[in-house]
This record gives sequence, C-alpha cells and structure tokens, in this order.
Amino acid sequence: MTPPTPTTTNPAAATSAGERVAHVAGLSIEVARSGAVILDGIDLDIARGEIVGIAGETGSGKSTLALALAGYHSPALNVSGGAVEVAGHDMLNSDEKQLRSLRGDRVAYVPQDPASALSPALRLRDAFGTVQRAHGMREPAQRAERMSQALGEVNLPCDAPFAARYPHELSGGQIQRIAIAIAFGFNPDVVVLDEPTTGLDVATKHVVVSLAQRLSAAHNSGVAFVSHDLALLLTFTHRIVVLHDGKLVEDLPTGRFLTDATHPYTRELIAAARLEPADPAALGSGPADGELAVIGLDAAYGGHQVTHGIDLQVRAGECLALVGESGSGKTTVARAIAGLHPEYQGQIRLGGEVLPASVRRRDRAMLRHIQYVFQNPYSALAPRRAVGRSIALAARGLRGCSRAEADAIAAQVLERVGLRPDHGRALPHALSGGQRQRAALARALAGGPSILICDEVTSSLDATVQRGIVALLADLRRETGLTMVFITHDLSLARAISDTVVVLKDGRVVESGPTAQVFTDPQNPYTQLLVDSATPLS
Amino acid sequence: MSTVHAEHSSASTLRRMARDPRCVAGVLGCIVIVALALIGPAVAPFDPAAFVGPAFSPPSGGVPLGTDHLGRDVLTVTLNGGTAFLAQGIGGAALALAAGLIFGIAAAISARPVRGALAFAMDSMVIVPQILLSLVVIAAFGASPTTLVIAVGLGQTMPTARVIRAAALRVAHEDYYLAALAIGENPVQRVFREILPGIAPTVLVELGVRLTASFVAIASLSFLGFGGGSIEWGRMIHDNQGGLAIQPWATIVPVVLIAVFLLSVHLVRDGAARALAEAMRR
Amino acid sequence: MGARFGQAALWCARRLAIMVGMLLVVATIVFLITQALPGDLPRQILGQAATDAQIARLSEQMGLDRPLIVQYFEWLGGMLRGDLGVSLASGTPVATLMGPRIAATAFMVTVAAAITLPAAFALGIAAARRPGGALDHAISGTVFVIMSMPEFVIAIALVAILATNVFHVLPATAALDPRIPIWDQANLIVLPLIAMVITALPHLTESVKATVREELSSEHVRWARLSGIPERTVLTRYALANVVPPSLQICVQTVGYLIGGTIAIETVFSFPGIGSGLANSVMTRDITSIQSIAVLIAAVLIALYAVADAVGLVFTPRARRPVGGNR
Repeated sequence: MTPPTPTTTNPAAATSAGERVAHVAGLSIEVARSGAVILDGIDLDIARGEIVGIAGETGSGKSTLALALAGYHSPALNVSGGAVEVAGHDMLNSDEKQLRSLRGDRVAYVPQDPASALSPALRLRDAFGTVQRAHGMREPAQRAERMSQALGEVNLPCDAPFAARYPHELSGGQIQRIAIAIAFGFNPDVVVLDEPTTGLDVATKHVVVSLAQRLSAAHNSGVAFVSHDLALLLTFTHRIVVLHDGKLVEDLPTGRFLTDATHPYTRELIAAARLEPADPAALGSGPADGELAVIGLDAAYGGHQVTHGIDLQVRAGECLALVGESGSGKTTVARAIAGLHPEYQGQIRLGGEVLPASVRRRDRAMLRHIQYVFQNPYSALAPRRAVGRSIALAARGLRGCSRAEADAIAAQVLERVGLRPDHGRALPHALSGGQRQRAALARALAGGPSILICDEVTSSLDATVQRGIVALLADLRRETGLTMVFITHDLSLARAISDTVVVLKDGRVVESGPTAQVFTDPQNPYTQLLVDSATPLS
Repeated sequence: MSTVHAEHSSASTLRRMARDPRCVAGVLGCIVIVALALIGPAVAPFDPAAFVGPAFSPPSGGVPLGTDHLGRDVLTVTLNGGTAFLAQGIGGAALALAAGLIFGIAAAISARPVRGALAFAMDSMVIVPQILLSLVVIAAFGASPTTLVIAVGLGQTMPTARVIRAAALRVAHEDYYLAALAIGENPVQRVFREILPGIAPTVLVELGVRLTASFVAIASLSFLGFGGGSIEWGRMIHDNQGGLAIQPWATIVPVVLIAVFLLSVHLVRDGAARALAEAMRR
Repeated sequence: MGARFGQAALWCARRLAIMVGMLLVVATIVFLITQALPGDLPRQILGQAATDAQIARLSEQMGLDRPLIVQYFEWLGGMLRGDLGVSLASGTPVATLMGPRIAATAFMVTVAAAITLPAAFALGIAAARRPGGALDHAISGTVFVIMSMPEFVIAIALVAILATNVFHVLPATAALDPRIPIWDQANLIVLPLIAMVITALPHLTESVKATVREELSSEHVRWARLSGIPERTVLTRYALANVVPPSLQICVQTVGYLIGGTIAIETVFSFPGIGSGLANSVMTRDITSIQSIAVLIAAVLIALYAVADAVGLVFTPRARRPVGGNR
C-alpha cells in the first residue's frame, strides 16, 4: 500500500481549494441528565475529496462527533450549542423527514462493528434494497444495476447467489466492504467511517483503508475516518484532528503531524505509538535449559481442534512474545500452559516435569510457579471484594501463609505495581482500567511466581496507559528475573518487550526466532505483513 | 491524584428505594397488611370459631362485615387468617430459594456429566406449569399447611435453579473465577468466595420474584381448598364464593387484602430490582 | 436441495430425541413424587379406620405390592401406548373420565391463545415504539397490577363486577351442558375466556415490548436510520424480523400459563374442564389421574416448544447452518 500524496498542505488551503462539504462550528454536546460535557466547542471542516482522520482514545467524544455529522445523537445526549452543516444543510435543526432524505444520500455512515451492523434477518440484496428504496429508486432493474456496480467497486462478486447471502454467510471483512459500498453508493458529499478497522485483521484493515481512499477519490466525497489507531491514520489521511476529553486539541495536515504537533497530549499519543525496541543488554540471560516447554500442543474447543503441534521453549528469565491475530490460538496456548484450558493433547513441562493438564490437578508448588494475567482488567478482579483482599487471598492460597503475612505481602506487591494502600481498600469499580490491570498484576505476583503469562494485558487499555504497564513489566523482569510469556496481537508491543518472538497463524507456528531477527529479516510472508503494519512511525 | 473511596452499594440501593414513591407505597402496603396479620388475632372481637349469627348474614351493628358460610364473624376470621398466609408464603419462597441455590450452583460448577444432566432436568421440569407440580405433591402427601409449603417450594425450585445456574455460569466464565482456580482455591472456597458474592444481586432479585410467586401460589392453592383446615384468607374466598351474591363482604374482604398485599410486595420488589440495577451500573 | 433436506431431517431427529428425553425426565420425577416419597398411601386414602385387609387389597389394586421399578415401567409403558390408567377414585379409565374435560379445556385454551397472542404483539409493539409515551405507561401500569394477582382474584373480581353485584350481564358460572356443543353455549364461556386472556396477556406483552425495544436500539437499526430508511421499514424489515424467533418461546410459555391458569379459573366458574377435574382429583387423592394428566400436559407443551423451535428456525437464517457459512 502506498501512502497518498496529501492534496493540501494546510487546512486553510483545503477549504479554499476543495469545496467545503462539512462544516462543524462550536459544537458542544452534553449528557442530558448530568450535564457532563462530551464535546466542547468543536470546529471542523471537511473538503470535497479530503480524508480527515479523527483520532482519540476511549471517551474522547470521537464517536459522538462522527454521529453528529450525520445529524444524530443518542437520546441521552443534548446539543448545547454550535452548528453542523453538510453540503449546506443544517443537520441539527432539520426535521426528521429532511434528515431522512439527507442520511444515506448526502451523508453516509459506516459503523464500527460490521457483524452487528447489518440485520441478521436481511439478505444482502435486501440490505441494499431498503436503502435504495428509501432514496427513491423504484425500478428493480435500476436497483440491481446500481447494486452490482457498487459491489464491483469494493471488489465483491455481484452475482445473484452472492446477493442472496445473509450476513452470517459473509466474513467480517466482506460485511465491512458492503457497508462501505452502500455508503458510497449515492455519491454522498460526506462519508463518516466510525472505527471501521477495529477488530479486523491486518490484511482486511489495509483493504478497508485503500477502499476508503479509492472511493473517496472516485466519488469526490469528503471522508471522516474515526480511529483510535494514530499509526494507521498517519498512513493515508490528508489531515488529522485529535480529540481529547471532548476538546479538539490538534488539527494538522498529516505530512506535518509528527513534526508540528505541539499539544502535550498529542506528543504523548505519538510517543505511545512509537514504542522503542527492548534493550538487549538489560534483559536477563538465564540458563539455556528450557524452564518452560510446550511440546506438540494440539488444543481443542469442544472437539474442534484449534492449535496444531505447537512447540515452544522458554528459558528462565526470558520473555517470549506469542504474536497472532484473533483466532490464531494464542490465548488457547496461554491458557493451556496455565492449566485453564485442559482440553489438549501434547505436553507442557516445567523444569523438565510434565504438568497435569488441569489446574485442578496441579499442586500448590506448580500453581505458584505459573501465574496468569488476564486481558480484561474489568472482569479479572472479583467485583465485590476489595482488591487488596483479592491479592491477600492469592498470597494465602499460593504460599499457605498466615493472614497477617498475606496482608503484608499484599501491601508489598501493591506498592511494587505502583498503587497506594487506599487503592487496596477500594472495590475494583472504583479504579481506572490501568489501575485495575496493575492490581491484577499484583495478584499474580503475590505468590512469587517464576513464570508470568500476560494475555493481551494492554489491549483493552488506551495507548498512554498501555505504555505505563509495559514499562512496569520491563522493570519487573529486570529486577526479579521473571520469565514471561507475553501474548499480543501487536507486533510493535512484542518488539518493545520480548527477547524472542513466536508468530501464530490459524493455530500453527509460522515463524519464531530472536525478536530483532524476526523484525529485520522476517522469513514468512505473513510475518512480513505484520511487520509492515507495525512500523509506521519508524 | 484523588483518593479512591468504595461506596457501600447496599446503602446506596436503600437510599434509591427510599426516593422512589412507588417503592415507598409498596413498603407501606406491606407494613399495613403484615401488622394486620400479626396483631389481628389479639384485637379480633370474637373467637374465630364462634357462631355469631345465621350463615351469610349481611353487616349489622355487632358484626360490621357480616357472617360467613358457617355463621362466623367475617372480621374476626379475616383478622385471624393472615398469619398462616404470610408464614406459608415466606416458607415456600425460602424453600424454593434454598433448593434452587443448591441445584443451580451444582449445575453450574460440578463435573461435566452431572452438570449436563442437571441442566437438562431443569429445562425439562420448567415446562410443567408450577401449579400442576404443586398439585402432584399435594395429592401425594395429602393437604396440610406443611404440605402446602413444600408443594409451593418444590413447584418453584426448578425455575429458581435455572436463574441461579445462569448467574453462576456467568461468574464461572469470568476471569476472576479462573484466577481463583489458578491460585488453587478448592470447590467450597470457590462457591463461598467467588460464586455466592458474584451472584448475590441475582439472588436478591430472585428472592423478590419467589416471594411474590410464592404468595400467589399459596393464595391459589388454599383458594382451591388445599390449605388444610386452618383459617386463612385464600380458604375464606374458597368457602364463601358461593355466597358472593348475598354476602359479598365474606369474599371481597380477603380478596382485597390479598390483592393489596401482592401488589405491595410486587412494588417493593420492582423498586428494589431497579435500585439494585442502578447501583450496579454505577 | 438434497443436502438441505438431509440437514432438516437430522435436526428433526435430534429434536425428537430431546423431546423424548425431556418427557422421560418429567414422567420420572412426577412418578417419584407420587409413588416413592409417601410412606403409606393406601392408609392415607382409606383413613385410619380401614382394616389391614382393605389396605392390602387397595395396595394390590394400585400395584404397590410390586417393586417400584416394575410399577414405574408398567406405568410408563401404559403412557406410551396412550393408556392413561384407571382412576383410583372411581375405577373408570382416566381417559373416559377426563376425555370430555380435556376437549373442553383444549377448546378454551385454543380460543384464549388465539386472542392473547396477537393482542400481546400489537400492544407490545405499540408500547415499544414510543418509550415513555401514554400507551407505554398505561400498558406497563395495567400489566404490573395484573401480574401481581393470582388468576382466581381476577376471576372473582370479574364475577363480582360483571355477573353479580355491579352489573349482571353475564352468567357467574360456566357449568356447560355436555350434550350441547360448546360453541352453542357461548354466553357461558365469555367470562372464563376474558379471565384467561387477562391473566395470560401481561407476560407476553412485556416480553414483546422489551424485545422490540432492544431491537430498536440495536446497531443495525441505528445504521438503518443513519442510512435514511423510513421508520416503518426500520420496524418491519429490520426490527420485527429479529423479534419473532425469541418471542415464539414466550408464546409457548404463555400457553403454559393458560393451561396452569385453568385450574383456578375453571374452579371459580365451575367449568367442566381439565383444570377443575385436576382439582377434584387432588381432593379425592386420585393419583393415577393426576400423574397421567400432568405428563399429558407436559407432553403437549414439550411438543409446542419443538414446533416453536422449528418455526423460529425458519425466521433465523443464522441458525439454519450451525457451522456458519464461509466464516
């Protein structure tokens, strides 16, 4: 994929060169009941043919802004000021009938989750047809022709059997392409894509991006492309705006973004997206004998095999990154190691000793050795128990020590992960996502493990919070010589933390080796693709 | 950084309930009926078995609500008939909840074959209308106040168990439950430390559901005449329904009391469930 | 087409096996409650004054002298052959005793269901379209009150209002004449039917309302609205198509409520149906009748659930292929 040459070099030029198709001025939106501010005086213009990236983290208000472009806000929200115009139409004060004729026609919306965006009960041709009829296409022949044209534009077949498919008979990537085809089908002035690449694999992500580029040029539409993935936006947009806590803190042409961004938050985002490779000198080099070994792992879910002959060797003190996309089987491998997924053939050895498959059959010493940190910090801690108590329970269970000793250990590990004693007394819901993940990490450390399995521990956190957790894990390794299995879909994260990398695809190992080598000289085309997508900022 | 504080969610739930007028009305209704049932026997003007006039005679000075099918004072019988009704309703709900908790948790976390068999049995048994199951129990054991409680409790065990099982399964799929496995908690510890606190809100809501359903079932079954010989509101309706045209008070008074009480319990339960859901959402 | 037929046949076979399994569970538990748990059933039936010889004779007549497992399989075998057994109270076959009652109740439940189901959908959808509107509030309020009440309270209230004290427009009892077809005595069954419909409506209405409301706030409905699709099309093509399958189960549950409700309602109106028949059987401790009728009702409901599943499958393209397409 080749990055486009930006058509304009500054926003003022964009509005004068291309005709302005979307105009947001001083838009403020708040929660109707509490008055909490979601958007605070947003100004944003989009020109014909221009692709504007809207970046921001969870809760920044970027989705609210995207929906506002289509003249929509959730009934729980209230527009407290400002204006939104699309192609000269007032989107905030039009009545339902006017809005209906504008939506889908002048301004089109592509939602985040392709799987839930199309009604499961409608065939593809009916999903098209209902939109077409809503915009006055009465002739069946005309509808069929336009549909096949639109499907052709997104490189999908347009034959009758394909058009008769239901959403569940299509892949996530296909559904996302269909949503894009429908969106551009009426030559709209503005297309809003709301996190269209989240949850898609790398290859499909690239397809979506290049389609947005091509169709925007072909139909001369302005595009608002919302994403939390700054690195991705940098590859193809013309302009990037950054939202933070409802405010627009940055608005720069993409070409100058990395150099000219001045807002501290933007700098933080850029830094977080540009993780430095791990310093090899700092990493512990344990004995060469396999501390942890996975041999010929064939794991299954309800009789359906998901991994095929996985072999892994992790030396003491080493950090092994297990990289793969969703469905690659990486979490299954991790859970099998921890004894949380006993349905497998093959062996898992700890210091030469074969471990029982189920955690229920492992003795206390085995449990102490291996601890697991979960992906989602929101479900990893018992919701009705103070986090300090959860940590103390783990210390007692794994070490068999007295209650007082366990409390002392809990206080110690809490401090180690950077939390205060009052965090320990709080229930999980009183903590932020990053704090919860630290608490979960503290629980895993309470037994004094030699091997820590980290399953996508940063993926549900915002980029800036991610960075803190990664730094903490690196510190822990340096200080305690902890062996680590780090599961991630993000190769740049793997690069930042691991000594060796194993790449999984469809339950098989496709590449493994020292991290630096895999990055500089990937052997497998799939690894190459992952590496390419992971290094946009370097 | 501000200090974190853990709000007591039970206190906030109660505060929410106190601000909800429908819930407050329900609490008042419950208090009135329960008070009537508890102090009724002490203030009743006659002996509940005493014959005070011809059967189905209309209200007059001495008997403000008239007489029933046996010529007893309707007011006296009414004041004496609430205690049994309340006790049986609570007993039935308690039995259903206790049995439902045991079956439900067992069906969520026991070994695979047992788990599957229990779930299948539950899915099969909830198809049978509850009152039918209660009738089977009554036919087998003979009508008595105790049988009534057992019949109502058993009739509602399976639906309760299904709800508990679903909640316990949700907890068992949470990462914190897996974490408990990974620190070596035994099954008893897991039930008491992880499952029970995890399903506590569901159990509270279910307790409300079972109380209402149990009172409804007790009233229905004693209306059908299966309450045993005791003096009880449902039974009064059953006995006096034939005289509805000549002496409506003997039927209408217990009907209204039961209706007001059930409506009040439902209001409290609904308000509590709403407050609990809101407290959980925060 | 052949493959699809094969799949359908496989599905039916599987569903049939599940049905038989469920019925076996119900039959076994009902049998265990009525036969295994009580200590001395014949003495309880005959009373303390009965002689040992009388009790022995009744035990033999009931088959209680044989091992439990033999009793169980004989009863089960009879049920499978359609033999409901012989009533302990009257000595006549249960089928003869209960046949006309079963027909009368089946008629009532069918009519009540034919009114309840469409009415609940209409009310539920109307309320869901305008959350917080007057209709929504009126429906929730009424539903709330009715849901709190036992069936017999509603029935007696109807009798008090429409048949005795306030207005006297309808007969208070529905003691049908068995020699005349039921539809020629329509005035007798109006009140019981109203009671049945009123008591069965709320649950389904609420559940339809909740499902429609959930669908209307779903991602794909939002997408449809953001694509400018008119609200009527959104409702019919996007929302309702996904409401039918989950609601079918609740429809069968409603039929279950109707059947359970007949026990109290038929007693209030002295209607000669299966419900009042069951109540009488419990009075006389006629265990055979109760057992057989309970299993029969369970069988009908289990079959209805299977039908609902099959219909739901037609409406759920996703479920037709358990291993999803080319995902």
